[in-house]
Amino acid sequence: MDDWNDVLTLSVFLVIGVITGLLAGRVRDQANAAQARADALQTLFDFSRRLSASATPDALLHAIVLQAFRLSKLNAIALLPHAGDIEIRYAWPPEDTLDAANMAAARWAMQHGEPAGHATATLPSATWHFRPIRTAKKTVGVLGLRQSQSDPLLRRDMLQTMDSILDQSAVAIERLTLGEEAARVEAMAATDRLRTALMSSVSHDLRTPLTTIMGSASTLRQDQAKLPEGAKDELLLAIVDETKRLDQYVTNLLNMSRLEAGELKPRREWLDPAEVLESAAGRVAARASHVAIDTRIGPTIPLLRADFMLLETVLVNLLDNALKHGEGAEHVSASVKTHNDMIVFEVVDDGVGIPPDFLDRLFDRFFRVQRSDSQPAGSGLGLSICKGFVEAMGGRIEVKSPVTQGKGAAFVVSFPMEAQPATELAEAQAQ
Amino acid sequence: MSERKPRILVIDDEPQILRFLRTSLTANGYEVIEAGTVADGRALINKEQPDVIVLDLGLPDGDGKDVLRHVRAQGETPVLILSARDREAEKVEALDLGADDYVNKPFGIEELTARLRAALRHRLRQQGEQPIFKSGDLSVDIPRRIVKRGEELIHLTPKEFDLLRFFVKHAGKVLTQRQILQEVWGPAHTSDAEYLRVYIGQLRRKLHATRENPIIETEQGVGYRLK
Repeated sequence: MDDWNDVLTLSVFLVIGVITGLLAGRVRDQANAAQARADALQTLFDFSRRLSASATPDALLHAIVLQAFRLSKLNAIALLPHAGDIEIRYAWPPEDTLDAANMAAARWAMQHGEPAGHATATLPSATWHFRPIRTAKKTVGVLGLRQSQSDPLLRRDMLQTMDSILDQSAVAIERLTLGEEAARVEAMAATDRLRTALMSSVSHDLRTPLTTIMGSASTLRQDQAKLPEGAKDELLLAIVDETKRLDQYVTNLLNMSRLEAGELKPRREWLDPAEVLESAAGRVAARASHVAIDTRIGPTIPLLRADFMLLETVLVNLLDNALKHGEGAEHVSASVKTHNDMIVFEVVDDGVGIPPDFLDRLFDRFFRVQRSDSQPAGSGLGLSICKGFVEAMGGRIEVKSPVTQGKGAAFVVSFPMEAQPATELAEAQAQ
Repeated sequence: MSERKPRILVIDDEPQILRFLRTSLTANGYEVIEAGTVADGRALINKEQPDVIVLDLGLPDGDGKDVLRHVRAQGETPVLILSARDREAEKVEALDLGADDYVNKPFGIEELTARLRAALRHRLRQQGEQPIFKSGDLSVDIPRRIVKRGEELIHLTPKEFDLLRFFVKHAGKVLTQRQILQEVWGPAHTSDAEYLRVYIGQLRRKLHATRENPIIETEQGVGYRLK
């Protein structure tokens, strides 16, 4: 009986051993499978993050193609619709042509939204396998994989993974093309508005002085003998003045296009703010004698790192504006002082001021203050250029109106103060 | 030069500009000769020995700065540059190469002729160097280091005097920031604009400069000039 017992015990142990072994094996397999799933999920997760971080269609295609290459270890390529056909947009390893048979397969996949080429029923003689990138509504592109010499058949599980990549890609591509489209429409509308404004500005601001010049010069030429001396002088002066105005306008247009093109690279060198202010005031005073410009320099103004030409242009524009548009202005002042760690320039006039409705749009290109009783003056470029220049140098420009007793306008340009250079200078300044 | 008319060479490729310069400068008492290219300009400089040169930097067969180098390799003939207002870098480069002055296009003839007279005067003054410089009521006695406005004696630090001396030596000529820094502070400081800003400010204050008479004029984005 003992023997029987022993045999039984042994058998039980054996069975338990076998079962345990089987169980352990299954657990290990499950663990491996879980790990593989986790890896796949992680890969997909990483991929989707890269997709949503892609700001441009090209960055997106880059991510998709690289992902396909990583997972399949096969050459990968992406094609997108272009001018009624499809074109290669990205490939890894780099590739810029496909032969006719492969292009035909890619086109078919694009048109029918079904896989085509190698390892499919459609055009199987092609060396690439193409799968459509589909959104809910349409096929937005094609992803291709090239069969390899060592592994001529594409594996089913790999194709499944590929499809899940493609699903995610499609959504991202759709989002981007929509965004791109909207941005392009918006940009076109803005460009259009700008072009219209520019054309009307050019035709008015170029033609008016040209008309005056042409008229004055031809009068002088034709009627020389008949004209009294005073009249000749007047016509000649008109020619000179209008030429200056044309020059100013051309300078403004050039400055604006430099700003538009992002070509403005301000120099950053140490300047004496008082010197720039005096230089600007001197320049304006030389051509406008009817109103005195009063300059005030605060005590111990530190040096400012900026571009002399640009800053002076800004101050000259503001002073010119104060003289031109500050109707009824008797006093125009320009000052520089320090306030709350800022270097602050201020140009103030005591003219009629700016209607409150216009304050917001004052710095817009081609915007001109239209008063009911007069023609708008100026080209509407000066202040937008000021704003562009000031911001390019890291400063800020603001307008306040009225200033006192319901009158006047103040333009305030401020720059952050910077740590001052060289101590030797402090000693020199103390002398 | 007091006997004959000053001979001026205009190098510019725009026929319209040449036409009006010819008319105006002749009327202003200059003998005008013209060139439209770098090659012609150089040939005429050698052959005609002009007293002063007006040079446009944009020429069809090359860079106007080549003409400038050619002139400076030979001597000190004053050169006046015609340039666009927004081409500061180009102007600074030409001045660093030894041009005397510049005029922004478009310009009035009164401005051009004033600059031409100043350039010629400057050259004359350099030839017979005066020990005492006078301009308005400012006088600078270089050897004795005495600076006065009217009767008032002005005390300058050694650096301030060095700066003023350099301006006096080149009175009427536009000096670039680089040229001044190099001369007064040395080659290691050619881009230390802050020195210049502070010392120019001080010098003007001590010399009682005003907006109408800044004594040392600021040439925007380019440099300075002593009137």
